[in-house]
Amino acid sequence: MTTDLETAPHPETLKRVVIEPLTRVEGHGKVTLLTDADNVVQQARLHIVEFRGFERFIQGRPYWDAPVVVQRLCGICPVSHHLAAGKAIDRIVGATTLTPTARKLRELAHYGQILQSHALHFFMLASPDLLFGFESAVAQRNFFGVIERHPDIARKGIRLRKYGQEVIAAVLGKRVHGTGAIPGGMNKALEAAERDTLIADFDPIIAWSQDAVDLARECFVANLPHNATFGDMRSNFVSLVRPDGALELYDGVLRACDANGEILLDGISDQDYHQHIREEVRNWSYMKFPYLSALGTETGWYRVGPLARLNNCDFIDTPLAETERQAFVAFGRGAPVHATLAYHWARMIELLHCAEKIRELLDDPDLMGSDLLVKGERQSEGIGVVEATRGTLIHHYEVDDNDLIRKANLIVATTNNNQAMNEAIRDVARKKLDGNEVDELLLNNIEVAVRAYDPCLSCATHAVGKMPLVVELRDHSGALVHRLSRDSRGHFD
Amino acid sequence: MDTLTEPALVVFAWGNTSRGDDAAGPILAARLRALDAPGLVVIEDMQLQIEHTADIVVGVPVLFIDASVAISAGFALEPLRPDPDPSVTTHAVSPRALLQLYETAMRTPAPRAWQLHVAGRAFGLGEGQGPESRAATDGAWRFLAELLGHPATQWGRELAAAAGPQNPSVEPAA
Repeated sequence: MTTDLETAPHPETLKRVVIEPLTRVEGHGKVTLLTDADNVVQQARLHIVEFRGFERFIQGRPYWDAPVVVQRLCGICPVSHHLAAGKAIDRIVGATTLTPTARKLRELAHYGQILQSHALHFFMLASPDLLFGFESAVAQRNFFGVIERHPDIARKGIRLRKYGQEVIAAVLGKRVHGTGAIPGGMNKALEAAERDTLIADFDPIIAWSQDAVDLARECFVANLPHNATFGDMRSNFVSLVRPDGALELYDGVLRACDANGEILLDGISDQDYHQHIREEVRNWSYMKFPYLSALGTETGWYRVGPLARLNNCDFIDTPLAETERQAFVAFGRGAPVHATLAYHWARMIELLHCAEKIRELLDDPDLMGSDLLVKGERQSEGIGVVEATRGTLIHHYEVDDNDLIRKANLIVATTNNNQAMNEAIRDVARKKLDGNEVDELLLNNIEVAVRAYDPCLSCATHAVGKMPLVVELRDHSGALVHRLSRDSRGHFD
Repeated sequence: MDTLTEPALVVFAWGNTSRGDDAAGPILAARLRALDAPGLVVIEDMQLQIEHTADIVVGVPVLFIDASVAISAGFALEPLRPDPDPSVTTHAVSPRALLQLYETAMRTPAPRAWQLHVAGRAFGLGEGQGPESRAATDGAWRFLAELLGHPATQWGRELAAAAGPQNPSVEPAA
């Protein structure tokens, strides 16, 4: 499974293409392509311009601060960081099992987070490419184009996103920087009025989510075999699953399968993740490359996120999403689906599952309880793993005798998908780079491949909202062969 | 203050309190909320997103507040018009794009809108707010307090007078 385009034998003899930063991707990334005299790609790399400041930001703080402060790492998935840190800190206070109310409140917030984030990604970031095609006019291929041509779809995306935020605000107290998860449980019960409002606003959510699955599936199958082989690769998959094999997003055991669907690891406690997952440092990237230690660095890399979760689980415990999962499995003829663009289809199945689970929880009497906290024997180490929107998210803390965090290690979903995103751009570059000119079509194809993974690169960079795109093609002597730029208004020069 | 209960001004303030000068927006949001002024709607977030279109109210003026590198010091008020800039397809939508999104999605003209820029320089993770940013934030707060001292029905007019429709106080964000 290892790549043949990661490192060229003689890069000094090759042309260099640089694409930076990527658009419709959170944060900043850069792609470099090296081509030989015949314009054949010999090396392709995705560089994530990432500042590893997470651990330093967390170290030295009281452990009970962690669930609050980690939300400020990222404006995109603060709830995922909040809950992963909350789970890790539960372990520090010896709370291995939460009360039913506390657990279900956290699950409700988590489903709200994934619902709103999946809606944002599919409707706003990905749907322009899927609805209009990668080769359609740039002026149309954006969210304004979707609103104008498909206003009903656009409004559903906005409303789904809004509802997910309402759920988060109700459970955590605020839409941002809520303080719901505290060591050993939750600090706020759900008020009956809050639950009733969520129920009253819920009515169209299931139908809209079902429509989203239909749309994602139709977009994917409408252009086969292209969509099935775009960003082509075969990989292992890692995710949490429930101990009985069901899709699980908040708390479960680790499972890994290989490219053929054979189980490599199963039933692994999240507390033992470090015995099975290692991270490799490569000299050309700031971001590490995780791998399954049993397989090693060459073949042990894996994918996480919606595609991995759908491939890994045995079933989904909500009826509508399970029906859609079965259609997804049938498409793959029982084997794992590897298509990069199938991430969007899997993502919308999860969105439907989250909608079903939210409705189920809102009727659950446990949700309205007041028993919110447990405690146990103080520990010096805590690990929390959740399935965040983009994939498996790991928080690992060590705490000293003064209750200060001595050591922190975070493995975010984007890091878990680092190798996969590199593989995707290599496939696109191999198929699409032609001649001495870099055109907008090539750029967008590369971006579509990366965008499928929805990498979240903003955790450590200040997003200023300006993403001009500059591409330069240089020969081996450094001479400029061709240059293409896109300004912040989307105009090409 | 009067006893108006209908929204008279919607304020979006955003930023990250753990990223140095980016704290200006959330700090001003907290001070505004503490006023509990009838007619004042304050929405705080880490960044603007598409769902904020649903918080805009037909005909009700909008004020956006954010730390800004568009000015070197102090604060400045800029009138805004809807604009379909590409930020609408990122995870952080610009105020202009949000207004355009509102117009396009809701089939309704965007209300009058301004952006209050609070000068910022450093945005590193874990940094505190710098002294220049704190001074700029305090200056912006005095401006807001004076504005809100007027009757709620006049807030939009006062903002328009302070900014001047043809004289934006800052260069439009690129």
